[in-house]
Amino acid sequence: MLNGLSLGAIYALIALGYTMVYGTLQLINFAHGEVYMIGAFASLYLARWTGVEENPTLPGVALVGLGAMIFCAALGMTIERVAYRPLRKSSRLNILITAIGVSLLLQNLGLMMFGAIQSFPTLLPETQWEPLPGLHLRSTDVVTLSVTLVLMFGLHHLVERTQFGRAMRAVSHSRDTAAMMGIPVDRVVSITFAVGSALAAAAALLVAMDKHSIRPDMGATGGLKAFVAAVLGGIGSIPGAVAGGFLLGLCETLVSGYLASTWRDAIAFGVLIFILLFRPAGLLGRSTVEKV
Amino acid sequence: MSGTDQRIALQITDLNVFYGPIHALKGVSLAVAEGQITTLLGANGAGKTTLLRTISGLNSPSSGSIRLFGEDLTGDPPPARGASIPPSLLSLVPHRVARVLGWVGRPGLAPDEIVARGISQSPEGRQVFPNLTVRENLQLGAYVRSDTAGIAADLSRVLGLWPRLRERLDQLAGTLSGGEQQMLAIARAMMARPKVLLLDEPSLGLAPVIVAGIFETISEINREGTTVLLVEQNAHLALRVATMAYVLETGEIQKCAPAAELRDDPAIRDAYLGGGH
Ligand SMILES: Nc1ncnc2c1ncn2[C@@H]1O[C@H](COP(=O)(O)OP(=O)(O)OP(=O)(O)O)[C@@H](O)[C@H]1O
Ligand SMILES: [Mg+2]
Repeated sequence: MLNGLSLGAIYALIALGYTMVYGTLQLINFAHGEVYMIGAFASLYLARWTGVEENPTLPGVALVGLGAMIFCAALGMTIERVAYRPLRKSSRLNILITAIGVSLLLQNLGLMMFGAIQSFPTLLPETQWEPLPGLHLRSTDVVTLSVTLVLMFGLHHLVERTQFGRAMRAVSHSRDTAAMMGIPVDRVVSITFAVGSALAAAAALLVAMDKHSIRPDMGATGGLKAFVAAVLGGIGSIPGAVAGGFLLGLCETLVSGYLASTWRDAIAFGVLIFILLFRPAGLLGRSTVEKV
Repeated sequence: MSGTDQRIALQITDLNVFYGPIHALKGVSLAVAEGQITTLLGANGAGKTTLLRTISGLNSPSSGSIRLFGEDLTGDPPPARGASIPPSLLSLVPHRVARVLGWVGRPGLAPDEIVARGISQSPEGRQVFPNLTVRENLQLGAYVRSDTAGIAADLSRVLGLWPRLRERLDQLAGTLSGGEQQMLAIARAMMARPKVLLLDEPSLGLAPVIVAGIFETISEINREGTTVLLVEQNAHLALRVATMAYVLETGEIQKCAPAAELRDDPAIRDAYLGGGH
């Protein structure tokens, strides 16, 4: 149960990046999965260079995480600036193809630079408890869930309580009207990419600390699942991404617990198709577009 | 009222705007005098919204100028050397580099810079942010400002003008009635504390009583010192509150006269006042 939640938390963190970018630009940022992958390798190299690998402390790990988040934020902003902004006025098909291209480019760069699978060091002590009979708690799940909760509350505060968050929601409704109000739309879009990418980096570090292995193609599978979670919840909706992430994580864990784990992905996509049949806009998505 | 000593707040000179091959504004010139309401009348598709969007920096003119109290808001036309560079490549190059290379001219002001200079707009179809509360919509109207005390003062001022909005401050704007949304759109624009307020068809789709109330408030805002450029199809009401009036037809200014004169102009009456009024 708890590892279903923590798997869901990871999907949710990555899904937030898809959904926020979709919300502001109506663009599916296929490169987002690769940002997540690069977040994992950035964490690895940061831990290595700073000596946190040999001598892990909680503040050290937090700094590694922060460093990876900042690195990925910059990467996300660069991708937006270089690949997407020049095409802001092009057809959606062109932008979609560009997004796929950026994704393939980064994935292959990852293969070239990082080689194949790499092992990830143990940065935090790992224990298990059984507070109640039959209920096993793993410390990595607890860490994942607590970090995710903190990040989600932070994001919630940013989006709901700050002038920047209001601007983000305004841009997601109408870029033109937002610009008319004096909102610097390009900057809002850029920061949206930064925030989404930073969340993906945090997810990557959490996954790496749990699985102890990272690979250049982890963005393709992880990214796809998170994308499914975003669509499941209603792409463009922030609570939807969170709900979709947790739903998918729980489904997958239950399926691999009670059926064979080979059924996992089939069930995940089965759930997606089933839900979209009945709610085409996703669980929490808006089914109609308001106009005038 | 319209003395020659009047300062010009907004001066538009020989403005040309294209949508691809469509020549939407054909050398439009227009002046908005400080402290007055100037109205721009015109039928569907005349180019009224295009003009307001261009003033707000959302469309770029191919030539002509827009000046706010003498300051040019538009850029220079692109130099010939830049014409052969594909736009997507151009947008990759940092603007300063492109200018040094002579690929682009001096850029026009961005929409947020224009709002900061003192031009804000209540757009056609109101366009309130439906998923934000009334309060949040108003806060966004003041996005370019940082004078907390001034913003608070302006908030209580617009809520004084529209008590209906005060009652609905924490309601989502999408749940407001059409009239209330129009009030909010104008109030939101007022939160920028504009020198010139642009209003795009505030009467659109609203019942006559509501429209009358909205026009009363527009007059009041103007009396308190805000210069207004009012775009309307409802010529009857617009000519009553305005001092100067322009008539736009298929992208060209056909007439420019004191509003009082146009009120009695039979051609205008037939074209825009729907006879019966
Ligand atoms: N985005 C666009 N792309 C192409 N053509 C456009 C676009 N927007 C407007 N036009 C054209 O430009 C002309 C002027 O349109 P505009 O919206 O400015 O008119 P308007 O006077 O505001 O009309 P209305 O009273 O209906 O609001 C019209 O012929 C319109 O079809
Ligand atoms: Mg119009």
